[in-house]
Amino acid sequence: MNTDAVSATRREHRTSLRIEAACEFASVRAATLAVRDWLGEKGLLEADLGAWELALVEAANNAVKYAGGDARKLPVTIEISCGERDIEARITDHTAGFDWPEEVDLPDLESENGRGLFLIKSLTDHVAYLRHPGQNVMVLRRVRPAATAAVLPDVAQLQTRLADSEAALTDMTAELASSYESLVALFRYSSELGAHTDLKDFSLRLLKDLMQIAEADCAVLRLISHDGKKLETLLVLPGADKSSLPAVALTDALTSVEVGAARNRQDIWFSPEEPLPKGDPLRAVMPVGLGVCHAFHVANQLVGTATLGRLMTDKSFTAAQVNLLHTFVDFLAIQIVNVRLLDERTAARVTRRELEIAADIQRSLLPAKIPTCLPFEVSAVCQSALQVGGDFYDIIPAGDGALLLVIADVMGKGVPAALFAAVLRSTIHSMPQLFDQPAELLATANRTLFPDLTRVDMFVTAQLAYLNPRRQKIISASAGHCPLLVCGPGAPEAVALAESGFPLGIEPMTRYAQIETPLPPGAVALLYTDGLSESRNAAGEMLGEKKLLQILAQTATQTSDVYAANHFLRGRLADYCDHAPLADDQTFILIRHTA
Amino acid sequence: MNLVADNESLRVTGLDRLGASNCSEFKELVKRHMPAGCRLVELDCTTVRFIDSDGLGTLIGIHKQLAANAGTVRLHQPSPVVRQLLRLIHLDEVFEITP
Repeated sequence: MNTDAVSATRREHRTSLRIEAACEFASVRAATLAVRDWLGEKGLLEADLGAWELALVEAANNAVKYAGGDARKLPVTIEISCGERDIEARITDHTAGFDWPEEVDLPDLESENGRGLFLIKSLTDHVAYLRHPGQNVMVLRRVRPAATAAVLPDVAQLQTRLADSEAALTDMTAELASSYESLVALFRYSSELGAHTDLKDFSLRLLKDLMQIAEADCAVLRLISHDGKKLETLLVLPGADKSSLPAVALTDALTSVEVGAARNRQDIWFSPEEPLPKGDPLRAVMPVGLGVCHAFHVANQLVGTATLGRLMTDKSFTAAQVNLLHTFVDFLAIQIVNVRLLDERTAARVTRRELEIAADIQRSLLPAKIPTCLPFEVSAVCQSALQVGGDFYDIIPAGDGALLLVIADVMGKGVPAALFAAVLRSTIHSMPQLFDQPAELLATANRTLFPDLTRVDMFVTAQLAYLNPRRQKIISASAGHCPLLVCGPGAPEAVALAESGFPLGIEPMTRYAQIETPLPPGAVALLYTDGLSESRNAAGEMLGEKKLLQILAQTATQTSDVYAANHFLRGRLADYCDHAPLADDQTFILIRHTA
Repeated sequence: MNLVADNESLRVTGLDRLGASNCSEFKELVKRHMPAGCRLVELDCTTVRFIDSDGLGTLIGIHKQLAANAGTVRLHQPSPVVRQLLRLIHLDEVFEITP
């Protein structure tokens, strides 16, 4: 099409357009479209535009179809002139031309050709075909519709279109209403995201909304179990007992569409034609009808499955309804993960607080000041591991300058252990008359504490040592506790005094042996908890009683007072553990007979 | 344009016009996709904006081929303009036209 040749001029209230198109179908087609657009700008209605388009196409196609030889190199020209009353077109061709027939008839219905002239004649009010040497001009004229009576519309067509429009409107209204409901619901859920709402209540409301909007009759919601091995039922709607739907193992992909959907990560549809597999637990709540099962994930982790079902089988879920299922369930997944994180955070906070309380109790049990008991020097340490245990020691004035040393380890950790340590301490303090008889004191404390300890299935190991400044010996008794260690100059060799009865809380009538151990000048004695002897080095080897005795022997010879001894002992223990954080509480009382 | 065939029919969708400039290509494609023993070619006319006499001639050619198997061409929901054209040249008696 030669667009340069396009021109529009105004002449005697007429506007005209001229287009030259190459002699080929595509070009004349483009030219007729350009004319159509131009006529559209003149305000012609669709019916008129359609008629002109077709008439011009038929005329221009003939100009192409019958051009031969060099004539194909010459353009087909379309000129159109638009007046107020009519429109006239002139199509110039370079064919051999023909005589316009007096009568233009339609060919047989089965004929594939010969309708062009009939169409041209039918679509226009006037046709002339003017033959000239080398070129011919077809003149078409059509009265403008404004000057004619309005064409009556086809009533049947109008009715059809009206019905179509109504149906489309109904569908759009329904979809809009459904979208609106969905949006409102989703906004509501969004406001709850992150809040610590009751998960089951949230899920129930969400599932009910989803059922209503997606027009489902029943729904099942399952969540992955904590061990990640099963899908457990959270909800079965409407109103069925969730126990009617047992959990399914994630290995049951063949008999459970829910597991199948979860493992393959794709929705599974079922219907009377493709029913639920035999043995699928869903059959119990969705015995007939059709449905779709969707598995939902967060951060690539399976969270659960949601299944929607319909009892009627004539209407499957639409794509829009399945999209709703996905969207709603995504919200649910986020909320589930949020609630789990909140729970974990709360649990961690509770644990931390509990440990703080336990540590406070443990600290409060320790004596604020160690009384003097010359010629004995006493020093003690209670170092807590990260997990506060039930270690404690006590050093109680026992009259006449004597001391009762107590070291104990309550089985267990945290607040319960710390509380029992407190109870044991009070029990001992309440029996000053027995301070010089540690065995009897232990037996009495055992009888007193036994019922409480048994009730909570706990026990306590303890060692009591009575230290009288006028006598060079320790009187001790042990309830299942680590042995008293003694060594140093004056003591021929390191001794572990191991005679011991049951821990407190095991057997109510236990009797304890009372042992008297000499502690000559320069010797040291150690009361300790198993946190010392069970310290492990980097290779995982336990220190053990024998090595602890060796360290104690070095402590006795290499230090001159109990405070230096305390420091030395702790340093050697830390060396052994390569200064790693304590795995267990380390508590000890060190006694040194000053020379 | 999209052509989908099944056992006995071919469905053509997405065509915007059928005329001298594209009817040969159209005919070729339909022939190529028509299943053996085809009894129905359905042209979705909801997207067809324009048909000329060459386009109609092409549809008649296809109809004649289908008629051998007692088949037909179905025009699905043609526009009012196309419908008027069919009525004008009586081809509404030849093709099956769905409203």
